[in-house]
Amino acid sequence: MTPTQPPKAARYSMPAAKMELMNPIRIAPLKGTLRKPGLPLEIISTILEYLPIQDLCRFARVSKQLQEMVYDDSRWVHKLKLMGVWNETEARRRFEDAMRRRRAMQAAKAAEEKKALQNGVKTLNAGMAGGPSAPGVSRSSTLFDAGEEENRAQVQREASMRRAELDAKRRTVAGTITDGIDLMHLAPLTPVDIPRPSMADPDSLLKVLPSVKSIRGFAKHEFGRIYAALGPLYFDLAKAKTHTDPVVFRIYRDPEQQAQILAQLKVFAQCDTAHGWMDRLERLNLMIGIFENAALREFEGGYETGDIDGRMKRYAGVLILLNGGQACVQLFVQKHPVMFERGELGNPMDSFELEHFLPLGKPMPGSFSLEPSSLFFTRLSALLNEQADVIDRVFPATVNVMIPFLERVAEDVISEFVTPILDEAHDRDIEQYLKAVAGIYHQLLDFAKTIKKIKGSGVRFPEEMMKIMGRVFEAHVDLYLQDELDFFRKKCETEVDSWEKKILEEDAATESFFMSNINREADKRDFLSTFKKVILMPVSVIPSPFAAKPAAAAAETKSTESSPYANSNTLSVQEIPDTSRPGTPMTPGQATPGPPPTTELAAKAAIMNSRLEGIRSLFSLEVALNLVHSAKSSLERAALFTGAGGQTGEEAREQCEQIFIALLQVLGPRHVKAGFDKAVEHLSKYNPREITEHTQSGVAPLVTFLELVNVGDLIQQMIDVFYEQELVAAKLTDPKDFLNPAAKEKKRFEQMLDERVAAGLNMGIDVLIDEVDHLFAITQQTTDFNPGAIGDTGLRDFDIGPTKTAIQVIEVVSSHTKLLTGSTDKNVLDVFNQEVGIRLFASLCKHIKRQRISVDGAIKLISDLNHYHAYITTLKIKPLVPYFNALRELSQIYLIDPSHAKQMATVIADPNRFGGIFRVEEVYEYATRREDWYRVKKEVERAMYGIGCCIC
Amino acid sequence: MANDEYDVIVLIGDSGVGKSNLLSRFTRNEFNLDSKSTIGVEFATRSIQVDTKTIKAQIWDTAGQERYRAITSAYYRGAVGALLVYDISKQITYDNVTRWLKELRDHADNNIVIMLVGNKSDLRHLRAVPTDDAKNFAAENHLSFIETSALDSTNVELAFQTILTEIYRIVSSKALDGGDQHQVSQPGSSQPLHITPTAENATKDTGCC
Repeated sequence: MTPTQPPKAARYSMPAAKMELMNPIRIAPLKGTLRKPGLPLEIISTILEYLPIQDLCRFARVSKQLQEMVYDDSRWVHKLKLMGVWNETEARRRFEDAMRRRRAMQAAKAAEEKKALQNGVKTLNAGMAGGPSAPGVSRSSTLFDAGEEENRAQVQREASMRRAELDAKRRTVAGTITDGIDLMHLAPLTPVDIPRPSMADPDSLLKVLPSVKSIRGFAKHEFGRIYAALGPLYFDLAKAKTHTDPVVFRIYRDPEQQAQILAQLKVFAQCDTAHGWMDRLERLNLMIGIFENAALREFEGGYETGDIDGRMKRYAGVLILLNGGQACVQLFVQKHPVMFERGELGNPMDSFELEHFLPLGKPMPGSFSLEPSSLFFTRLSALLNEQADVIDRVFPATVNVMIPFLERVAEDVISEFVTPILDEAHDRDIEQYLKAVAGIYHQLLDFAKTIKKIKGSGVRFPEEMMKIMGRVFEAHVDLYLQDELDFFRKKCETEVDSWEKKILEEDAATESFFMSNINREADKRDFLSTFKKVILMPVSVIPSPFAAKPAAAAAETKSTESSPYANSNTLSVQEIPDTSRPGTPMTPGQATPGPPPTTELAAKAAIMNSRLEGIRSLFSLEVALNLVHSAKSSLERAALFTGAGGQTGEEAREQCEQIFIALLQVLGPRHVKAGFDKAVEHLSKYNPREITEHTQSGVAPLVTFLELVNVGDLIQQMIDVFYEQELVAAKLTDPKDFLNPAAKEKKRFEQMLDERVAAGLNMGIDVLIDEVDHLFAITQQTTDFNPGAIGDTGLRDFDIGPTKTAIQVIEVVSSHTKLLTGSTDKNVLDVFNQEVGIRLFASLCKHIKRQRISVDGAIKLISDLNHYHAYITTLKIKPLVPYFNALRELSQIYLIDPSHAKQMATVIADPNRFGGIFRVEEVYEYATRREDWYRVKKEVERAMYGIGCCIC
Repeated sequence: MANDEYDVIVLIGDSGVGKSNLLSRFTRNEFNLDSKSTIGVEFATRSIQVDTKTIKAQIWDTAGQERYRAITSAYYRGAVGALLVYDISKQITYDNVTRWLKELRDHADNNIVIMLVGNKSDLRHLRAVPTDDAKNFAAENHLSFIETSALDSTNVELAFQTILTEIYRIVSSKALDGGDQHQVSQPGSSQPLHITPTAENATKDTGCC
């Protein structure tokens, strides 16, 4: 064979040879030159895969080329891989190590060769010659290295061989049959140069598979070692008729060893691709089965007699060695007494038992109790922890017995206990069912926490545990979540419905109330501050117990006699969330710790009552609180399941969002929107002329509406806090996900509120300005701006403050705009104020045009306008200022003495003076409102248009 | 309407010298650091005691800014006293005093009592107008003079007190003389007070044209 050929042959026998098949041009010359007409090398190579090992060896003897083919390393690597003992990474690592060594060596060799060349000596590396592949100088470096590796292995092997032979000799003396069998079966099969040390020592055989090394170019020898060890036993076993026949059972008496060798044989069988492998495998499996059964019987025997540390432990070990011990784990779990004795742990119906003992046998739906189930879980927990000890003793740490065991317990015991309870509860009452589901689930989780961790359970034990427990409830969760949502929705709707019905009945009364309410406007602002103190504060300061406090504040509306102020004080002191239903009237006893109500407080309380009474006909804070509260309890129950993880957790989370959405839907469109619509309707019907009393600075429906905005804002804040606390903080929803349905619904709710507020404000501005116009019309006296009109000419008023009308108008406007402060969005408020300002300006202009103003009266008018201007500056809205500046400028024209017509003309004709607010014609129009206009008109016009000059 | 006897005092001077704050300090005892410039005119009243008599003062705070005071003549109508205010820390406001004085002589009553007020005396470290200069100037022009600070209310009360007292003395002496009705502000005599200059001005105007 030429030195160039071996690589080629090697390439063709590689598993990748199929790729080469695709290239007929390269194959053709080989066929023609090297072989007589016959099978192509690739096919031969493939056929070789199916030859039994001994045939393979014989085949190798045919020719060098065929030997090459048979000896090819990849063939053996493949076989090792079949057995799963070839470690590619290890092989690579070794290869790389070798490469490094080789490079170092090559450098050394290069130097040496140079010297050798000089000496004219041609020598080969002696170590290399010993390699199986007969390496030459021109060999590829890889093979050279394999040879190197081989060398070292060879040395080791020889050493172990010698040792083994010594052992064998000793054994022969002992007269065991091992050697006989060895000779009988192995002699023809194994290549002569491969020693058979393994058979000599049955103990070392037991470890033949784990001791395999993954070295490239060395797989044949590793395989040979395995084959020598396990081959004979395997074929012997395959031929055996009964379980007593095989040598295996005779060599190894110890069940552990037997198990070990059988497990190895099972692995070894994987590489048996020769004819009849199926029969052999079947036989092997049969034998293993027989052995396993026997071991299991022993284990069971141990189990029944309670021989934990003895037989149980031993045979568990045996079975684990054999095939991981699943069989005995199964047996342990299946046979466990806890499965059959679950009746002793507790009767599921105990939870309902209470009702039978109730007087007169009238079953109460509320008599469900969580006590028995709690007892059940305690007992079960104790039992399981006891079993955990047993498991710890019987099984080694490598086998996870606790999880399958718990799975079984969960399935057979817990499920069997829980399901009847839940079914029964579901049949009885939905609310009870909901409570039962959440309660028992909670207990279950607590129970899960009490289970001890054993050494075999691994780090992920708690998670596994939760998963198992979650599975118990899987069947119930869907139904539960659906029921929870339905129940909540229904509850909300009934709440709102009943409230609506109540309001409908009271409607007539509230209508009249609107009219009478007007008398108490003076204290409105006072009330609002109180309102803010009492209701707003607790919400913003202490967010979590929100359910209790504003509710109580709302509840105060009911208890007229007790002091609401005192009530609220007490409540803000006790910060425990009230678990009882909110909105129930506080008993006077609870109210006593507060400061005794003074007359002022009592007055405030009366106002508050009446005020909230008015709002109540529109929508009720109390109802909103009730809804939020029940949403909270529903959410809390449902949120338990989000901890279950996986699909169930996800569903529970979604359902929580659904509950929140349902809350918003009921609270928003059904409740708040209707209230706002009604308020806006009231507003639109308002006509200041129809109301006789205008002494106080308020427009009743507008005030109602504005307070409604406050309450709406309060509800919105509450919802926000609720969202943050219950959903975001509990990780039930992702606030950053703008597509999230809950976030979307919340936004929609806020938007709805804003829209309603905006619509109402729009209407409110109309109403407010109507009121202002009305005030102008009825309160402004002719003498205000024209003191000489009546005839008492000589006198001028010393008090040059603004007129009553101006003061009143400002009071009306400011009291209403102030009501809004803080209750609605800053931007909305600004727009509102700006609109009010501009409309006020327009009204003022109209008003001035209706007046007659004398020079003396101008002082009054200027004072008025200064007053308006001062108010507008407090609003801090820039765009409004020029309007009122212009008004002030304008007012100056009335101050000009009639004799200074020219000056007047300059002012009128100067558009810059008014910042573009008034045009010249407009100013002229205002000038005509002068009391003495007809006297000065000519002069002014002459000065303005210069006509007079020409005539003159 | 019952109390028809009062004196009108105008506050004049450059923009930003502190007229509005002098007024608010005197009438409401308030001071506003970031007050806006006055538009047109603002009014305030206060009564003070001179000797045994209560004098009511109606004070007109006029705009200092040129653009806000085209109708200057209207502001001086019926005024018996004027506080001509400048800022002691700003020379230019003092320089303008002559212009203001001229305006007063042009538009106001001849007998008007004028007081030169150097405001912002709290800004000692920024002083630009020496007290003596102002004092001399006042003496030359027969004006009273005082330095005030609306911020720390130094002399504010005194300034108004002084000018009102002076007005009172003049009025009462005139009344004793029983002479010139035109210059005297007497009960019920306010009407003639403003009719006279009106007539004068009107004839002047027509004459011009």
